[in-house]
Amino acid sequence: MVKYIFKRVLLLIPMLIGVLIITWLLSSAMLINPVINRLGMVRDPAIYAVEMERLGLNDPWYIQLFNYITDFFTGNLGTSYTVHADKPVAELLLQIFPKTIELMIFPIVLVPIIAVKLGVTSAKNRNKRKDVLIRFLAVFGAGFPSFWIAGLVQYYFGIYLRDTTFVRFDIDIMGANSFESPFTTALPSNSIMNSMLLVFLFFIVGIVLIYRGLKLRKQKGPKHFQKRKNLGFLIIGLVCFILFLIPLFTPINSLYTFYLILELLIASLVLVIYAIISNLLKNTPKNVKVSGNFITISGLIIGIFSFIPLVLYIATYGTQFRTIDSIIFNDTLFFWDTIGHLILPTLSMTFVGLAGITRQTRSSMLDVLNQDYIRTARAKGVPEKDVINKHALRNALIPTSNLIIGGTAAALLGSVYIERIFNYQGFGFILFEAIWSGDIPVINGCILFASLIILASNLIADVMYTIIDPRIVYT
Amino acid sequence: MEKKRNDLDKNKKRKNLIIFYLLPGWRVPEFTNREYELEKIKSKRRFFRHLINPLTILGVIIFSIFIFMGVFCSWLTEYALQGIIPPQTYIGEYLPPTLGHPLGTTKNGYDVLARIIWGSRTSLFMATIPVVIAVGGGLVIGTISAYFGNPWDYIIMRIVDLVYSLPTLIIILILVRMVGVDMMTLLVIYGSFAIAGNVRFMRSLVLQVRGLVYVKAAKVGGASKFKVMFRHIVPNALPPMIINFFGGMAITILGIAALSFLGLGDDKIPNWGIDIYNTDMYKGNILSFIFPGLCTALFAIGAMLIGDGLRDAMDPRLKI
Repeated sequence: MVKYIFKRVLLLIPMLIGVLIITWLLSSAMLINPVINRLGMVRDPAIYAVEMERLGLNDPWYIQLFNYITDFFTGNLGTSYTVHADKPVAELLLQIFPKTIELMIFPIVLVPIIAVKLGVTSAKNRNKRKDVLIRFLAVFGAGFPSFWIAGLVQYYFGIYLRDTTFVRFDIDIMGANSFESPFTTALPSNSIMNSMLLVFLFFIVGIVLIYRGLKLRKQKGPKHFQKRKNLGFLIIGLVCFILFLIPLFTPINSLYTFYLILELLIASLVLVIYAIISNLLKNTPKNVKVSGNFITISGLIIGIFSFIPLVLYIATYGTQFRTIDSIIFNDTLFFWDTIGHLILPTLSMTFVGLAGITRQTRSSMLDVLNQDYIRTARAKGVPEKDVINKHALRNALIPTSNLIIGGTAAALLGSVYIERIFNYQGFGFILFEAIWSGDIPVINGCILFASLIILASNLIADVMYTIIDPRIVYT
Repeated sequence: MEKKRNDLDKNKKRKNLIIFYLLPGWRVPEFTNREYELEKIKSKRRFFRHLINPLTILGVIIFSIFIFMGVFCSWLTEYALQGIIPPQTYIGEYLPPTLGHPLGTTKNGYDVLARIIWGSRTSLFMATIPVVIAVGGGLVIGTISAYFGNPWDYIIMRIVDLVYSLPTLIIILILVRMVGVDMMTLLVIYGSFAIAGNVRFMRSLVLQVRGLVYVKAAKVGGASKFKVMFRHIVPNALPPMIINFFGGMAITILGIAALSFLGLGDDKIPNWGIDIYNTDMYKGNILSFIFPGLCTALFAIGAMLIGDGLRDAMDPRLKI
């Protein structure tokens, strides 16, 4: 399994380069002159020529492409031309993605839960009144376009009720709509962001180590003391040590770098020592418990050391999530304002998302309920609840899980319509603006992020298969 | 027996056959027992029995209404096509329903009902052309990929993976912005991006069929590669692709309406998506938002119901 995931992750790299090249070629062949859009009413040819030269648009296309790819691998996504002039694209993505995730998190979490429940109930009472109602709703939800439903909802609450009754659902916008957070004026610099990414990685490594250690303690026998697995720890430890050596040669200019260096040192030492000790002590069942404790403690140390800079970072820069930020900085009004503006978009997204998963769950559930082992389970006297939830649902969920993960990516891309109609400045809104005005770096950045999410979700779907159905084994 | 069959009137025979197909318990009195059994195996009787179910019939009715509207649109409205598309200079008011305009007018002053009726012809094109491209391309490329094997298979599947990893909607947005919003180009772009999914599907189908005995027999008999592929393999892998066709129609009509809603539709033809895009919600006629959207949805639902019904009939093991 680990080997398979590793293989897939390695395959991502050529795919990523392909995506980079294709998006660059597409977006620069758009026949929209970004410089004219950028300059606006200024019609001076001299300024135009200077601007073209500065943006590097006079170079041949292969040099531009080469520059773009080399810039990407040094962590520079370029700066926006027109949408928000001279703003780094990485910064822009950092600001708009949390807004979109805030909008999407409710449908993404809630839709599979409700839809699977609906599908199961309609399969249980097949051809009865409940079933007919659910099927009717599912077919209609699948057929109606999301922007149409969103528009109708907006019309009803925003205009119809206002015109015909004394009820008013219009909430005044208090700066909640722009994607720049009102709480934190300064954004972290590039070096801090890079070090924070590493810190976050180590936080996750710490949690994984704790989990693994606790799991090892429970197990008995010498199973886990094979040489190859310790080699992995040794390699990770050595890599950490090398990473620790790099920041030593650069000046320590902030608290974060200091913590980073400390943490890398500790992590590398712990891992290397663990690998050496467990190799020395050979394969005896006694040592399993000891090594389990050791891993847990090392995980705790790494976790705590990466937790401190994370807290410091959030306290100064915020998380960029509106709801969380307004709780941290204690602004009740802003919090309810944000929530109020999220209700209608999320509701219309939820309704549209329900249909597909409900239909899929129902059909696969009906298929499974006809199988022999369900009859056997009922004959054994298993309660009906357990037959449905344990015997049937697990098998019915295999085709559905693909749809759920795919739905996450689709929801993210479908946000264009919802964000357009509700004027919600997230990923889709900015992307559409960028496409409209020919802002090549922003388009490239957005597509890159979106395709990364799609690739990751495909990988997660494949891994989920083995969790839901242990019979499937990848090699 | 031979005499009896020759005596039957040709029309009567045809009528008998139709009843035989449609009614599950029906038995033609002139048939002998043996003939009856043979005819039962030969006929698609079970297929028709599964096909006749209330939801499928509803889908067929909805779909045939749209086809009827599309074919006879000039007889159904008093407005000519030239009267409801932009080159016409007359720009009327943005009116709520009146006697002359049962559903009111659009922002440009065109009659909404007339645009809906003329738009159903456009929508039939918009639904079929991309799906024909997608399913046809998928059929050919998927068969070639599965039958020829490596290295062609490997190359084609990596390209398909690459297309899968791209966010299709955004790429289509960019491409449409690049080549303009002419309807035919839009449809071709939309269809060619849907090829990838069909290639994967067709490949898996052909891989199942490829190892069967009759394929080997055809090869031993000296059939050429293309004859084996398109004469022997493809017809056996076809039914799931036909189901895909109707499912694809529903998705395509919604997708193109969504593109039009973003302002990337062709406004030089009667187009439901453009009506939705042009509606001003604050003043004027909200019906020009509601009814085109309703028609889009009904069209999609009709195609979806027919697809579900066909799947029930062709693959009885799967139930929806």
